[in-house]
Amino acid sequence: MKALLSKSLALLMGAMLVNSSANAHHSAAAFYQMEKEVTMSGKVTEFRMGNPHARIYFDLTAADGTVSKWMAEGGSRTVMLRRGWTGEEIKVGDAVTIHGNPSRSSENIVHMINVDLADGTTKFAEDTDPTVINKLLEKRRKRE
Amino acid sequence: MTAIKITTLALLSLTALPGSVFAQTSTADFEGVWSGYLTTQEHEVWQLEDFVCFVGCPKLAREHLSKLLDNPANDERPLNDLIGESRGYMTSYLKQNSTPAGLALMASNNEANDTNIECHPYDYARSVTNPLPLKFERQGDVLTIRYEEWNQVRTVYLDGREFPKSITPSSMGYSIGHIENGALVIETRGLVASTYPPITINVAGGHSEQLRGVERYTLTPGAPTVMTVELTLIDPVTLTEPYVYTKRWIATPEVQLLTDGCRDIPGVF
Repeated sequence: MKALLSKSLALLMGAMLVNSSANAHHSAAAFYQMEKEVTMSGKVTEFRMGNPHARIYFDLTAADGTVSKWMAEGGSRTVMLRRGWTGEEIKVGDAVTIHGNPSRSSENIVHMINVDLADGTTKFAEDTDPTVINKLLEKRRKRE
Repeated sequence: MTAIKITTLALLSLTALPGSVFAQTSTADFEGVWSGYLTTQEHEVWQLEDFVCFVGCPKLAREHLSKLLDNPANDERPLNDLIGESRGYMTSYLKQNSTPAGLALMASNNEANDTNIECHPYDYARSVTNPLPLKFERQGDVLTIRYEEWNQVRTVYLDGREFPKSITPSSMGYSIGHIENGALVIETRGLVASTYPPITINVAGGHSEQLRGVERYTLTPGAPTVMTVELTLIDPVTLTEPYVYTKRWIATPEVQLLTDGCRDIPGVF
């Protein structure tokens, strides 16, 4: 479990989304390759709207039929609850697609930013909203 | 009758004065729920600094970042570069103002050994500027601070007592508070030593059991009211100078604290 992020560290990772082409902050770079994006589809084996973060455990089936077990880690429980998550969105057996960043380690962990749910909708699953940050940056640079 | 009139006039004159004795004993304006950037991101009151400092920032680092952001020459630089420069500035400052023990703490601590990962709740210093909502509640001369983060609770005595001669160290310590020129001032002693990893432009590695913390909360009227804390850490074991953190919240009376917590999940990951 040591590869998992602390709450604050993962929150900071959302911050790095503001400019993914920039050199990632040391904190983010320690765990995830924030400059890279990854999309992974799989079948849910477990979903926890728990702490320190929401986690989706899923089976990934490769082209040759090999199945590997993965975990996608999203935002903090209470922040996601305030964004409208209830914890009932994902069920075991659901087909989901994770959009996020790959891990730096060899572990099968992915940083989850958005998730395509089985009902066809997409939900933001992180804490800090990069669109808001970009608005703040734009406003600041206009000296408003 | 004359005596009553004089007394009444005296009371009226006292209440009419700014910073009167009455205002200096009331914590009413501080009571209620306060929310930081993380849970109210769309609110127009926030600046980029509040985003960067969602877990609190050293005051000097925030000011340094503000100067960088205010300089048009930096407009083409990625935000992460400015954050990194502020972090470097603060690292240099802290290296110059730390004891050998403090420097060793800085050198040894990093994100990977954050005890938060293993479901250890924050101690005092990280709790004060944590990113989730908090609530001030007062009953009599006792102020209770409830943090949504980790469901932490602190007790602050407002009855004018002195610190006990002997305090059993704890993660939240022993706190006494008072109102001073409109600010809510809380001093805390009796803390266990703690570590905290570098986050954003926070670079300190932790503190000793000799830490004294002084929180100074001030209010800026507006819609909504903004509350700012300056948390001064005084630790002769790790610091040669007081180290000041800051963070802002807005009044959110409509917000309810949610149940937080942590459960480490055994498994292969």
